[in-house]
Amino acid sequence: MQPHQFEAELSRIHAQSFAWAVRCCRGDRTEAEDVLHLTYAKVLDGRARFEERSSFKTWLFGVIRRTAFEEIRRGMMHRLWMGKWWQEREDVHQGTADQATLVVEGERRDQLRQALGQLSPRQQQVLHLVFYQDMTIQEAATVLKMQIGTARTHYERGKARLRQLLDREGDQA
Amino acid sequence: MTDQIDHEGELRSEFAALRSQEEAFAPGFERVRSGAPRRRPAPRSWLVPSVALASAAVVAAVWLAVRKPAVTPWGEGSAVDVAAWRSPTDALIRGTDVGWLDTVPSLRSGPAWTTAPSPADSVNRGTN
Repeated sequence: MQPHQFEAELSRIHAQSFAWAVRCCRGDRTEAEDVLHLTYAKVLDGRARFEERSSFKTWLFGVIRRTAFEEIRRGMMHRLWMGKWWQEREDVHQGTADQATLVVEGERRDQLRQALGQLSPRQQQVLHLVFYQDMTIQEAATVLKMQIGTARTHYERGKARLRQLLDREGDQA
Repeated sequence: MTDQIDHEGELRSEFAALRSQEEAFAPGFERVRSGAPRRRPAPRSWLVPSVALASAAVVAAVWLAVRKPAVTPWGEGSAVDVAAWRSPTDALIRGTDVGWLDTVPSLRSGPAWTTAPSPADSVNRGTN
C-alpha cells in the first residue's frame, strides 16, 4: 500500500477506529483521541508496518490496542512519579462532562452502554469487535492476540451476561 | 436456538444503533490526524531540572552535615601552629658544643668539630 492509500483507508474507517480506541481507553474519549493520533502517526511514518497478513482494519485495530496499552501504562507511571492524581481528578470531571454530551437519546442504548461497562474488559472488547465492528470471532482474536477458543469463550460468556443484565434492566424499567 | 439467534439479532441491531449515535459525535479525521493531543499537558521543561537541582542540594546538605572533619596529629591546628612546629628529633642532629654543621668536616681539620669528652674518657684519664 502507498502512503496516500493508507491515509484514505484511515479516513474511511476513522469513526470505527475512534469507537474502538474509546473502548480500549475504558470509555475515555479524550484519551482515545490521543491514542488515535499516535496510531495514525505510527502508521503514516512507517513505524507500524502493514504486512497484509490480515485485513487492514484488523491490523489497524491491533495497533490501536497496543498504543492504548502503552499510553495507559505511561500515564500510570507518570501519575505515580509526579503524584499527579489531583490533576487527574480534574480531568476526570472534564471527561465526565464530555461524555454527558453523548447521553442524548435512547434509554435502551444507555442501558446497553451501562451493561457493557459491567462486563470484564476482555468480554467488552470481544463483543465490541463482533457486534459493533461486525468482525468475526477469528478477526477479534487476531486483534486481541489471543487463541480463537479463548475469544469464543469470552464471546459466549459476555453475550450471556449482557443478556442477563439487559433483561434485568428491562424488568426494572 | 431460535431464541439465541433472536437475541444475537437484537444485540446487533442495538449495537448498530449505538454505533450510529456515537459516530455522530466522533471527532473529525483531520483533527485527530494533525491535531496535538488535547489532554496531555505540554512538557514542563522547568520541572525536571528543578527537581534535579533540589535533589542535588539536599544530597550536598546531608553530606556536609554527616561528614566528619579530618583529624590531624596535632588536633584542630591552625596555620600558625603548623609554622611553629618543630620535629621532636631535631635535637639528635645537633652537637653538644657546635652549631649546625654547615659543611662536611674533614677528618684532620682540628678541634672545630671535636665532640665533648665522654665520661668514659675522664675515667681512663684518671687511672693513667
